[in-house]
Amino acid sequence: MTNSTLAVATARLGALTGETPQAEGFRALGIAVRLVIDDSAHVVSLPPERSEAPDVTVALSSSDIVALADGDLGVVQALTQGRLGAQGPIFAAIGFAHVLTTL
Amino acid sequence: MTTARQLHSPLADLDSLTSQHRKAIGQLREFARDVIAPTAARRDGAPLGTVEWDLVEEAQALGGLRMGLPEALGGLGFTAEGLGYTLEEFAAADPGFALILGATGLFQTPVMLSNDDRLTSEYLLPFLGDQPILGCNAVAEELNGTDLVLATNAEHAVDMTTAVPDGDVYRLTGKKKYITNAPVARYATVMANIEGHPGSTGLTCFVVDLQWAGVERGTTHDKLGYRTAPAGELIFNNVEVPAENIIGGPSGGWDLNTTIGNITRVTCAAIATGIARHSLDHALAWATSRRQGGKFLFEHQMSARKIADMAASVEASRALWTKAARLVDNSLPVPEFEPAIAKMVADKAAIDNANAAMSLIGAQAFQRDDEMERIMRDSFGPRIYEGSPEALAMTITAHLCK
Repeated sequence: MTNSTLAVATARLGALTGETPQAEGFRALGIAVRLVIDDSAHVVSLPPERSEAPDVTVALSSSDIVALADGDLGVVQALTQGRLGAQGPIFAAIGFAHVLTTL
Repeated sequence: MTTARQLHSPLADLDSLTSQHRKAIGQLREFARDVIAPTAARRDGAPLGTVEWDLVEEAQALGGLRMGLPEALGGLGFTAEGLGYTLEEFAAADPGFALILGATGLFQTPVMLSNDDRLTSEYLLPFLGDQPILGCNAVAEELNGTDLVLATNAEHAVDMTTAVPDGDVYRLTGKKKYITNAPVARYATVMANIEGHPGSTGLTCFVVDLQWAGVERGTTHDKLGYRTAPAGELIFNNVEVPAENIIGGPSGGWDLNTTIGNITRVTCAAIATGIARHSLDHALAWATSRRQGGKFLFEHQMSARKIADMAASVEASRALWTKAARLVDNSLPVPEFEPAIAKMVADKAAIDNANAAMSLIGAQAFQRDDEMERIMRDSFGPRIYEGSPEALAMTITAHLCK
């Protein structure tokens, strides 16, 4: 991971807030996510107003977030290769990972 | 006797499930107890390969073939814990029937994980209809057992079912063996090795409609137990499978196989617990009605110890599989250690309890028309399915010694 990868990842995640199709896709899940990027160094709460009560905590590296978004990594591979971490209902985490593929 | 049975019912443990799931589990439990259990001996003795489709259809009406599918899709949306409770109930009635439902879920799980709209529409929606459709997961082969369970063995697999890339399709050739539901399933996930990769290192998961050209049903196996669930061979003769029917990407089969195996070991442990419970029930019925030396059998100290050990085995097995199920439901990466431990303990409980019940019931249990004969044969099923204790030990020690 480099700082630039983290910057790219967080910039992509910006599409999950506001009035974008990706944000709409995320809202359709109906969940609040605490996304831990790169070993807890960076945490993103989605939607931000529900940061105190996430339904699920998802852990991913910034490079995997970018790879998911670019189509270089599939959700099934992220799951089965142990690259997608989660605490909370796993199908919520998997649903969120699928949203990341739309960024 | 009634009080004792209530003590080992798992229903008191259902608090962690939603009210809808509790209701659905309750309905399936009643069906297992009132319809499946009383007819288990009939299916056990039926001609090889027989499926009682009317009962499968009744199970389907209660959601039995769509238990793990998402509620948004029309499934019951059961978690691993919900599936475990349900399959424990079916296993206490007829573990072969549990296996018919469980093997279908084994096909559905990778398709669900793919979240692919086309795969979902073509291969999951048919399970929502009134007519029961079964699925299966085709992994094992004549020469490849543990070489398809332990990833460290991958290069040693021989004569694997092969997938040859040909434009937008792959052509599958080979034979799968010991596949539950194979004689009657409509769909299968098939693990094949992409041509050019040594052993099974190019293992890839293909979704296959078993009505496609080139698919042949081979021998139906004459199994020791679980006879309600037909199992057999699937033969692939240059079967054309669209590349878009791959789940987990080319050569992603090992990771997927291992993940699905870890999830499935939880339900295998639940099934083993159900069999162990059945032995306990059967022994209790005998020990609380049979008098020797002027008192009931359970009042004799040695018999009491046997019953207590059997009850402890059931409780310990259930505690371990529910712990593993909650982890599977709520944590990623999918855990390896806890499902392996749960399955290893529960499969031992199934065999130990059958053994203890045989001893406790004595000559009556030795008769072919006694239920113990079937329980004894079925009790060895969980030991084999989804990893023998020897294979599980490799997973467990790898976790402990890494």
